[in-house]
Amino acid sequence: MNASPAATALRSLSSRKLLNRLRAAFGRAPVLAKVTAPPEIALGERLEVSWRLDYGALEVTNVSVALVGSEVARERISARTGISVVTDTRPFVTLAIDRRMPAPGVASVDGLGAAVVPADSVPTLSGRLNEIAWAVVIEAAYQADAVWRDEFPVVVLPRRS
Amino acid sequence: MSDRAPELRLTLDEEGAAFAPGARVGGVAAWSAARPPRGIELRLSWVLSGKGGRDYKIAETIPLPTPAAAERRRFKLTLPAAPYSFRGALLTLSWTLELVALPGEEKTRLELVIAPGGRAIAL
Repeated sequence: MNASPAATALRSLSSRKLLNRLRAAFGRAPVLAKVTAPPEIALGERLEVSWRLDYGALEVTNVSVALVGSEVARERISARTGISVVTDTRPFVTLAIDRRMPAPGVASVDGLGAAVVPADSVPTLSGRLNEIAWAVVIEAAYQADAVWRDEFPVVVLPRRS
Repeated sequence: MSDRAPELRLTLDEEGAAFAPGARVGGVAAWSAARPPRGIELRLSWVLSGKGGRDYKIAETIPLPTPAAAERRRFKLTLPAAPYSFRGALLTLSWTLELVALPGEEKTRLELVIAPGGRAIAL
């Protein structure tokens, strides 16, 4: 039986360099998230996650961290102006890892949590058009409105025998 | 001698066509042609279908060497560990085992379910 690899800093799906440069240009601290977890996990295993979100002056009342499995279907649409790709994404499972309500005036929050990947789900699968994707998702909200979100992909493997 | 297309038949030893990942599957590949085909092979493949198109991959090809014009040949194969058969709202993954005659690519096929418990996963 193989063990999960050691926890490491996961890479963000989105590049926020431009957004953070813009925030810096207006004198606002960049929003930075760090997620540390094993990059691979098998179905039925427990994913341990530590995370930190530095959000500077952004007003945040709650932060949620979850493991999300999604179906991703891409469609190439041809037009006279060129080819564009329309992407449909549907989460099929969302597993809460952690939730925090930072105190007013605080500029960062962190935490630890875990989720068990359901044994009766499906592993990561990447096709040219279609995909099963898993990611740790951090979402910051101000009251009921999401103000910031980022995804940190993890690879979910088949059940270990 | 006419060059009619070969007749192809594919049967599995097991009732039904649903298996656990890694299962051993046996069966019989049979064909009948006017002359020996240049080649006969089994292809195990999956298709991941979405509304914008399909991703297709041949997971394994098993050549059945030196085929006679008409023959029944037993085969055994080990199914892969993944991906699993599933049905979601946007995507469906299905497995197929094909018996293919070369060079014309005439084929017959069986749909397989490969998933834990032999049941396609509903997302």
